Amino acid sequence: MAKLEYFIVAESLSTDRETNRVSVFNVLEEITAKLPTHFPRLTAVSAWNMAPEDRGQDFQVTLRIPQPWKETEPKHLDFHVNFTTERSRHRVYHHIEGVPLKQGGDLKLQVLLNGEPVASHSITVHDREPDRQPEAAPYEVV
Amino acid sequence: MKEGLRQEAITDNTLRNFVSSLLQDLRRGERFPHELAVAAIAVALEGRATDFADEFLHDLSRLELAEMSACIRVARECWKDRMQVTHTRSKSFRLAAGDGSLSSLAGGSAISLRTDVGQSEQRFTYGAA
Repeated sequence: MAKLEYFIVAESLSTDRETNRVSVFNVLEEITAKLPTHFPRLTAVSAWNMAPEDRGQDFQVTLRIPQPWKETEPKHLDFHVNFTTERSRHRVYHHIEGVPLKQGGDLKLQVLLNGEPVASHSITVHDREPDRQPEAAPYEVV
Repeated sequence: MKEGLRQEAITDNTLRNFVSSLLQDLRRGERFPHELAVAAIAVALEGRATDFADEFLHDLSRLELAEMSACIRVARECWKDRMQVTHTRSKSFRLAAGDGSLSSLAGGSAISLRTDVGQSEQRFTYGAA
């Protein structure tokens, strides 16, 4: 069975076409935003080691993003990518634009293989306080 | 062709003989008339784990012949991809403005699909327009 090598969520990534090396930019760990808002862009990369018996098999990798503020089930969004490979390693990129973000706290993104949770990546979301008026000077000069 | 190879309706030996017959039309200073066919064979053999596939892609990708430069370039790409251990599958999703709810997702539609040799990429847009 395919085994996860790593899973990480970031703003973007780049793959060198010559060397096939992947570079991940701005890993999402902690963000501060005026809520509600949305992620302009979010990229998840998962790398899988394939066993010899996995060659030619169909796999589905799902990125699950919780949406706990939703009033109806399921309280998450699922993004599926299917693949079949003959290689010993396989990467899956999820590029997602416009994911809603409506409350602060820990947002635990999960990666699932064929419907089974395998790993997670937590992003702490801070709700920025509403713009405050500048504080009055503690004293007045006369 | 890939399906034929997979089902063994086409064998490596058939391809070897076919390529040999095509190469009889190779003339110095003239564009090789079967470049498309040879390039298609290169693509079909890219993921095939046989000695012939190795030999064909390796040898073709190392040729320096202006007469068949296009299929040589294709073979180089196929060889490079064959040598890469890691393959990548990439898919883009865009949630339409609004609540991005799952019901909106269910009603989504694909707007474009792009598949490259070796690496693959898909783009989808979901949600209300």
